[in-house]
Order: sequence, then C-alpha cells, then structure tokens
Amino acid sequence: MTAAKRQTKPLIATFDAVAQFEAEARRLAGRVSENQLRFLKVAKAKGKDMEPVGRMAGARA
Amino acid sequence: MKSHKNDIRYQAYRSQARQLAAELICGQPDLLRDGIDPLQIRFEPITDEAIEACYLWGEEAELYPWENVPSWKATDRKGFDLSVWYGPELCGLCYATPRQSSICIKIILLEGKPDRSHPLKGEVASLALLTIDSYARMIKCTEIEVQDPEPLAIPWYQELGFDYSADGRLVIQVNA
Repeated sequence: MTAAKRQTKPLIATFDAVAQFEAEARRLAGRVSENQLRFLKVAKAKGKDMEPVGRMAGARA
Repeated sequence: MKSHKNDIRYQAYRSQARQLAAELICGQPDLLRDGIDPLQIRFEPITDEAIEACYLWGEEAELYPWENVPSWKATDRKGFDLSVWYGPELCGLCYATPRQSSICIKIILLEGKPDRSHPLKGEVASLALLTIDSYARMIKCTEIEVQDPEPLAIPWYQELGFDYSADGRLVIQVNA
C-alpha cells in the first residue's frame, strides 16, 4: 500500500463517521417541536417590545 | 479512540442543530417578524471572528468573557456554542452545556447585541433556543434551564414558555 493510500483511509473513515453522526443527530432531533414553534411565534408577536438588549443570562462578575 | 469518536459525534450534533434551525426559518419564513430575511440569518459556532465582532458592540456592551469559550469547548465535550448573525452583523452569542447533568442542558451565557436597532432585536433568545431545543433532544436532555437569568429578561423567558420549578430553577421541558 502506498503512503498516500494509508493516509486516505483514516480520512474516509472520519468522513463516514461524520455522515453517520449527522444522520443520527437528525433522527434524534425528530420533527420541529411545539417549543420551537412557540419560541418563534412569541418572538414575532412580542420580541421587539419584551426582549431586553445585551445580557440575558450569565452570572455577573 | 472512543474519545475522538465522541468528539466527532458532538461536533456533528452541534452543526446539525444549527443547520436544522436555519432550515426551519427558511422553510417557514412567516414565523419571523416582517422585514427579516431568513436567508440573512446565520447560525455559527463562536469563532475568533465572532469574538472579534462582539468587541465592536460598543461601550454599552457588558461583555461576558466570550474569549474563554474556545478553552471551555476544549474541556466540555457536550458544550454548545452559538453565534447568531444577520448578514455580516453579529446579533447574539450563547453558550449552553449539560455538564454535571444527564437530563438538563443549562444556558450559561446569552447575550444580544446591545443596540436597540439591530436587525434581530427581539429574536435573539428565540433563535438561540431553537438550536438548543434540537441539540437537547440529540443528547437526550429533557429540560433546558436558564442559569443565572438576567432579572430584566425573566418575564421574557416566561413569555417564551419557561417557568420556575419547585426548587427555584427557571426551566422548560423539552418535547413539550
């Protein structure tokens, strides 16, 4: 086996793993959730007035 | 080897959570406020470019130590980082992690651009939550918690569906 072929094999394995995990991610995520729809609908209706600018979560120093 | 494989796994999960959010808003643009072009919204990791952009947010910004996020990511395999852009403009940053829990992902940091006229004003939390909700399901967390919510933002989280649990945590159930 040439050096080039030896280097290509792990790279292909990594690409395969990425594709497999991406498919797994989509399966686990499932369909659009009610929460997700609510987040967007509420933001559309009230976000401009209600969402504060700047920090929204995180401990103050 | 397993460690390397898991690094790839969670990297793929993060990228897919961001991708799914982009697909949702492009597929249903009517869910966004009028005037927002979904094609301009980008869901990206917190890169050096994002950190540099947040330093340009101006004097009003009370910046979190976003420059520490790359080192957190190195030790927090399941940590989730997000920068939300509108075209070339950085509008929000978020870091969440399920660390120390197998059921709860915590929003550790969330910050929007401190400019009242930026194009995603009012959408930063919801867009961040879109991605976190998907990611939570991928890693099998059943609740999202806002750790240390900014007091001014609490009514907003409650409007979005969060509520205080009996033990005083601001949470929302996943898959609800």
